[in-house]
Amino acid sequence: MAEYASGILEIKNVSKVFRTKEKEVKAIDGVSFTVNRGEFISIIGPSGCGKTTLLRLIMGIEKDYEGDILLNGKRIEKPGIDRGVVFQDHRLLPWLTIEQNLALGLKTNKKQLNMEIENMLKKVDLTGFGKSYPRQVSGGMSQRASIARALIRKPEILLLDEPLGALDALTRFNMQGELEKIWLYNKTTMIMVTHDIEEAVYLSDRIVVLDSRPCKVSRIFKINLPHPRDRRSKEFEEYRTNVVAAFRDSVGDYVI
Amino acid sequence: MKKLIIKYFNMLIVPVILVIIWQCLSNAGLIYDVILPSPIKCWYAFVEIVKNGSLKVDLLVSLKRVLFGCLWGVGIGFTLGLLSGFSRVVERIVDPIINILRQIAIYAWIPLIILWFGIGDTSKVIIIAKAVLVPVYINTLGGIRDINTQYIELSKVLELDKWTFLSKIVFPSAAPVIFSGLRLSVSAAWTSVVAAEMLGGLTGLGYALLNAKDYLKSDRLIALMAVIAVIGILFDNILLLLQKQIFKWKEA
Repeated sequence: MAEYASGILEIKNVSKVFRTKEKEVKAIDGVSFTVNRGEFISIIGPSGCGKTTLLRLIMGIEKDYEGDILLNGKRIEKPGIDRGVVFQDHRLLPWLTIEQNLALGLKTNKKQLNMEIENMLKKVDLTGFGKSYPRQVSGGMSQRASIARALIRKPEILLLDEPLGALDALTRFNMQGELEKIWLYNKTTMIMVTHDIEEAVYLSDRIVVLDSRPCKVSRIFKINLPHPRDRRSKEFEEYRTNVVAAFRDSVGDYVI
Repeated sequence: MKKLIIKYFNMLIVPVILVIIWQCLSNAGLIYDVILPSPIKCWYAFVEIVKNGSLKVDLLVSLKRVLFGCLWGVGIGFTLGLLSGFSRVVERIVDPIINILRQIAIYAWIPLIILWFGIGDTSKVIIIAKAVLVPVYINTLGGIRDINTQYIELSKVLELDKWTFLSKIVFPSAAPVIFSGLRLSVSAAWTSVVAAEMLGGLTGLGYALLNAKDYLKSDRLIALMAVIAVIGILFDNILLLLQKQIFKWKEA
């Protein structure tokens, strides 16, 4: 069985300012938290609060920030395959089959690669769809393929930017279960930005609630529930209510 | 099958009705024969040029010119488009020249080109190549420049090397636009070969048109025009079919 990596991510007093000719906007203001090895962390916060900016800093796409973001002790300055990324849109290349999308840019020898692809497709429940084009499969399947594309590179950490945000309610519900399974199996460290509180409670070890304008950590919740989680249990409901309350506070006068 | 029949029925209904009206008017003696001969007369003229072999000769000459003109035009336009697409410096050098070229209509070039290269095949090929080069260049460059920034982000996140980025992301995403340029340019080639042959030369479909005019053979003139139309449509349909085949991934 393939070994999966899982790294530690330390976010230390990170600030980010966007400068235009006219003005400066402080998007992130002194955010600190640590994501432990194999942990699943969700980041929630009001829209426009900078949660996606924070994730893009971790991806290395957004640059020039103050403070430190350390992956296994090394400061993040640019993108790299030690971080797997799942975007809200699946971002599979439409002219490549699912298989080719997974293999994109990988230099492993063909035989080994085919085996890895097959295993990965099996894991995300896409066996038999390797030769299909993205247009020929559903939104949920495309998103699973996109997760597979990130995981096949064995990243230290998986970054998920509202990965289920574009899916319909039922598919979303099912995909939360799939994501849980994948995480339980791989134990890769994961950070997910979401605006769905139930989703966050269902999946996360900890939930980071962000304040907006500028973005600061408002609260961090630890979810002490065993997996797989029962959405209808009393404890689950309690956590959900608490997070909703904290979220309300952080939104303040803004309308949710 | 039924759908296909309906489709072609829809497409042909207007031309067929027009031809029928035209024939009726001719039969009624309402149209002067030299101005507009009846469809049947045009058909006979067509049969005549097929039988005496002149159509075949002219058609082959024109097709050969289009083929070589396209090869040169596509080759140069595509190469320049690619280079400009990948390098801003090359774009700054090449773009103004192409812009000057495209502002001057193909007909304005013909006298000068004839003056330099005579009325033989060379000047025809140059004229066609010029007509083809411009749309191919513009679409190649545009296709490359218009690449979705999200794909650029993706290639950074996946740490793709330059070659993979170009061959697996940039080129495929530009390919449909480049192909549209190719379709445009083939029809540009076909129209400009006729123009070039009319403005100078002793062979080809364009010359045959002039010749028919000089002898007041309006039935042959119309037959030749119909041949030009049909061949043009044929070209475009072949390319359309090819396009569907190559870009299968775009279909749902």
